[in-house]
Amino acid sequence: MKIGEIIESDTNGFTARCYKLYEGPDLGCLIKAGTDNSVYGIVAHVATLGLDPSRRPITRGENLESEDEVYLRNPQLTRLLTTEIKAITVGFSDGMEFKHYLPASPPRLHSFVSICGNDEWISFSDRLYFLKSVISSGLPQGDDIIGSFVRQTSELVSDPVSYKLKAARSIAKFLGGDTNRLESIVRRIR
Amino acid sequence: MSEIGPENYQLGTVVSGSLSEGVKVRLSTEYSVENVKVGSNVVIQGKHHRFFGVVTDVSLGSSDLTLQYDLPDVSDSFMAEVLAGTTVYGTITVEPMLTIGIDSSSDGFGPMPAKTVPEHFSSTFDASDDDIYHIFGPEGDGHFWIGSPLDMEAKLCLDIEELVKRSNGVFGKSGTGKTFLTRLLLIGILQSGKASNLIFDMHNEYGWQGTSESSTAVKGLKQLFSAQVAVFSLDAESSKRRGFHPDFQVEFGYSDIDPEDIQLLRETLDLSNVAADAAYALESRFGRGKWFGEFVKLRGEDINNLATEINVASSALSALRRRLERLIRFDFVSQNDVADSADSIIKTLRNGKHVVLEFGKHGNNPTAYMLVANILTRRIYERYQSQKEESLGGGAEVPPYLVITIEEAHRFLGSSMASQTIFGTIAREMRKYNVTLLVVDQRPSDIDEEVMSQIGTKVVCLLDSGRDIDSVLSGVSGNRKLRSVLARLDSRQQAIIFGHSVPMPVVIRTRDYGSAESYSEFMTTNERTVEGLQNKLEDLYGPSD
Repeated sequence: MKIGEIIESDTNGFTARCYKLYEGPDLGCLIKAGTDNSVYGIVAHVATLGLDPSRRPITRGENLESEDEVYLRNPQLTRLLTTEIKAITVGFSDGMEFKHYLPASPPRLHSFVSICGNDEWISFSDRLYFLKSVISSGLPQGDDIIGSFVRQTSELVSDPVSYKLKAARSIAKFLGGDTNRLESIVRRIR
Repeated sequence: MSEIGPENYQLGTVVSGSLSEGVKVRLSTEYSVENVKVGSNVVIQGKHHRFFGVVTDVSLGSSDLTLQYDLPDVSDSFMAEVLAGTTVYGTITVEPMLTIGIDSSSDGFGPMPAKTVPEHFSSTFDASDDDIYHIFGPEGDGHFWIGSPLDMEAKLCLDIEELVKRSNGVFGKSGTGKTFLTRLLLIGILQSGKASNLIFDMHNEYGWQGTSESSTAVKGLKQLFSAQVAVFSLDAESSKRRGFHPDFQVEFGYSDIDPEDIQLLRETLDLSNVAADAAYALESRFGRGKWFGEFVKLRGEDINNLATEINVASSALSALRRRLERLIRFDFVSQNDVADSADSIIKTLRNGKHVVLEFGKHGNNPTAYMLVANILTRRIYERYQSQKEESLGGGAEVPPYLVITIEEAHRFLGSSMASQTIFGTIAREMRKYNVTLLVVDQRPSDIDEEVMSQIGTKVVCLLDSGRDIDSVLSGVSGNRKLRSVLARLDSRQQAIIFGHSVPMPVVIRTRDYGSAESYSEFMTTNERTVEGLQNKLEDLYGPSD
């Protein structure tokens, strides 16, 4: 399902602007950029902001009953605001198989970004080495990204509990002896 | 060894270790540390060799060193499950005992003592029944089924031919099953036909009916193998009370007692060295075979005169005379010349039978036990010695192996007397004259170190005392690690065997003895041989001429 296009791209990840306001993928979602030899990423940040960085949004609903009414009375908002996502690159496809490491070059700007289909998602997530790049990304929300990814993936597989256990054990291995962090992630996986 | 197959369950992976300290195996996530027992057998599949080893230690490890101070929330079962096998894991230490080559250059050599360790990350499996058969040999053909390895059903066999070539020991504290194990070993020797048994049956447990720990009656050798076993008794009345007639009643004349016997009895008779040594002076004064009879006739002043004559303190000689009174009081010691019991025993043994000498009421008297065992063994040994020497000169057949079983062996083989008694000589000179010992004892630390070092195969049940454990493990490779195995044996039906008749130390659950099924298993094995069938015929129709 196509959701947007890349507007920034580098070796470690890419930023995509979604076509529709508030209709971006969830945190931790597995997305891909490009149609052939796709680059895969995990959504690490979702933001909605004004298109013009010099103009900050102003308050509009002080005298209105509901939030929805704000948008109904200001239909221009859907054009002035945008939802953007940032993804950490976790692998790519060479057309034959998935590689769970960084591609030689990042995806092009304006590459189409889409959420992976169930089969592709399950297939890519069979091996979980790529979670190490999320763990070591240094992002403050890193634990939530992993937790959310594992939860979403487990809903797609036939045995969610085993998958969660397998993922948590892989994470334990990546973390070495850091039991505190493991506990923090495990709480988010459950 | 057979190939690693589906019957071998993978335990884990080799992560570190050394030949001297043992190999560390990290258990796989699925395998709980609680399922591994010290003493169990494992197979490690190396690159060029397959290693067969014993688990000598089980431990808990963690990749997070702060874990013991900062506990994770393991009340959450999911968290506990995640941690198990990853951050926290079980390790076992395996002592590699044997190697079997698995590449073409090493085929055909069979198991060899391990001189190296498996590579990192070698897979470790629990041993299968096939592995046990391959290492210890199948039942029959000189291999006797003594029990099963821990948590396995495989029949673990002893090489009886190797067993009888050397002196052996069964050790363990009271009530741990020494007698049952000894019965099994005796049956093994009997069924193999590799040696004859002479058993000094102190507590009347081997010949006819013994009792188990639960006080139920168990059959003796005579009941199981009546045609092959002869029971000699020192106390025919006791035998009759227990419902059978011994084949021979043993008696001794004064002429059978030698100064060496007095030396052996020095402690039990509470004699000083001078008094015990006086027996030698008496022997040279009166002559061999006559000294005892002549000396015990003397009274009061005669003893003083004799003391002056042979230059021994009269007080020592009087003490000796008083103490010898105890020997005279034994009803199996007669002042007349009696039938030569040693000769009867030897003849019986020569006929291919096994002899159990029951002590009846004298079993509780160490003096009687030691006196009789020493007199008989000395004479039997002399016969064997001369026959062996004649056979070396080409004048006689080589005597068959004889295994003499003695209980409370430390009384005969203590440091102070092992050099003087015939048992010490047999233990040290071993197989030179085809006579070996099967010593049964609960205080192995009291047995002379030199004798212990000559013991070929040791079967050891639970021992508590550190000294006893040190004593049985002295000279065994990897003894520090076996120590922990030995100290953790169950107090019933478990033993560790090491020495010449097994390729590697092994913990066994002793074979069942005492049930109708166990008896029938012995009989089945026995009847497999031609000799066994012959004996069965003799049981039914009497001896064939």
